[in-house]
Amino acid sequence: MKMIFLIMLFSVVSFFTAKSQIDSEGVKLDLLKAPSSPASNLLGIAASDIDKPTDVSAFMLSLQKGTGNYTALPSNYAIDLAPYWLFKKKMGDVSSEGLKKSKGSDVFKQTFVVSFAIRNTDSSETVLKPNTVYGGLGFKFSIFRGDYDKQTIKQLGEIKKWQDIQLSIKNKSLADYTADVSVIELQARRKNLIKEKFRMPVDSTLKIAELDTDIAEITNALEKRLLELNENTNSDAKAKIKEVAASFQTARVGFTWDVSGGISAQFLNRRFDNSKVYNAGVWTTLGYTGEKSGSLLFLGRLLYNPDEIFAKDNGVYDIGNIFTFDFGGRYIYSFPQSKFNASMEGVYRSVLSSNTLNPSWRVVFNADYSIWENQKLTFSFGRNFDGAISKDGNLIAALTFLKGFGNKR
Amino acid sequence: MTTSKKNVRKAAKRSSANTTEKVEKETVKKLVQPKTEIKHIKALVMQAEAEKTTLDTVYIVDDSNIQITLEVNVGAEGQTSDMTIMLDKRVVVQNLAGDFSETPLGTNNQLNGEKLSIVANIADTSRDTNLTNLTIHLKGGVSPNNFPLCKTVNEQGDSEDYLCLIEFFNPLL
Repeated sequence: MKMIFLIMLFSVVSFFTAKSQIDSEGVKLDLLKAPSSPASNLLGIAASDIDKPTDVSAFMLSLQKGTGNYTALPSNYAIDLAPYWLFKKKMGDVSSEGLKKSKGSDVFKQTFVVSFAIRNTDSSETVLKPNTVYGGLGFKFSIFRGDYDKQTIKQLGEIKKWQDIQLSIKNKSLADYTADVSVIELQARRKNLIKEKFRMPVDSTLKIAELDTDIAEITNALEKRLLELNENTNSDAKAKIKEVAASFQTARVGFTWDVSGGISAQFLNRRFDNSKVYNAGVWTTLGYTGEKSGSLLFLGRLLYNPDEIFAKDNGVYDIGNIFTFDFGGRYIYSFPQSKFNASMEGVYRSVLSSNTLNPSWRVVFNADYSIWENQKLTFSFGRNFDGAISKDGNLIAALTFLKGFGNKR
Repeated sequence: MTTSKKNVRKAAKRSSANTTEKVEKETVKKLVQPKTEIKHIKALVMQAEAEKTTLDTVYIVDDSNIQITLEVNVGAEGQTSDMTIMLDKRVVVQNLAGDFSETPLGTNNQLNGEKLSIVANIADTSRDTNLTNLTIHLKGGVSPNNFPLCKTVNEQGDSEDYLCLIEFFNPLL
């Protein structure tokens, strides 16, 4: 299958190179998926430009960068905030074991993301209205996200087996440490100092500080000793853990259900007292991913575009609020842990708010192959909703090579 | 509550804090004190912030019948852990994957002199971070205490061993 894909890929690339230049935006991949950042999606901000802080410090840094050291409102800025991970005080079990067991409200909390985006267009803007400020607000969460697949469970079991061996070795090291006479002596000295400290009058702050210093010194010496013992006790088990853990990747199978929504506003002439809704939408994706059968997804999407200009049947242009409802399906030929993915999707768009506009449809074939981590060869071919943009109703995007620079994670 | 107990609790509040937050609060309180003491507090702050994988400390108890509870959280998100907890020779839990939820270990007076050992291995299986961490929460003694430990491993798949020893100790006996 991979061979056929590569042959097909290169022959199609050479044939369609000229045609690929027609559509500079290309076919959007993964349309049939609730967007991870709805606010940015509504304003057409690239995924790579979205800040995703994982702690409060990173969030403040992101805000500082976006606002020019807190001196101005951000001009072009997009951020996704996951409250559960950002304000982590009491999170529950987030280890691979905890994430395996999490269900119901845990899944909602762990996947809930709020996205904000702001875009300031200049006079050269072609897609959005020039010299206008756009602001977006969105959310996303999962209701079901599936369970670990067999390969993931097998790898975790393998890691656990070697960790059990490693623990038995380390338990013995700790037992040796606690039986060491010099360690016992130091611990006894520390306890005497603590006793002395607790018998001091409350106002003897200097003496208490001195005792604290002595206690801290003994504790440091003991922990240093324990660290040396820890570092000097090596075993093959650790290398075995690495063998499996280095290539470990979590994959989930079963039912999945994602929901997301967002709304964006347009501030004409950059005036905050002159605003209107630019667009709004709600997405939901329901699907099933099998171990051997690939994935089948169903999409429902409601989009609202006010004051849209459209052509009527008699050729006269009109302006109105457009409500569209998209529904469709996507089959993904992909197996958990696989490098090769191919998918076919079809979406039917019905216009709810107008009898003048005809329904439309879109069919796209996508394929991608992960060459290495962070590097993908992708290909897509299909017809978009707006047949007039591409010639003969076909929209053809060429081969794209995506390469992430820097660290592989 | 007896006067001695009050003294123990007051003294415990003054005692060396194990968390950065506590040390910082102490720093504010003692700003007017001699420079040597401020240096000492700064050293404690740095110590609390540094990465460490071993712990040998005491947890102050009194002579009450109040239950002491233990909770251990492992991380970061997506890391794979294995942990054995023992109280002297008694196994509390063996080869546990994931967090150890809050569990009573015994009363203050029962636990005095006993040693709690926690041995864990945390493997980096997360694609998002190389950080591994283990936080021990003890409650029910003279004051609740958290013992945060962490280590950022060098490469994806590396694992880190955590060795912890905590002795329950009543300084007034």
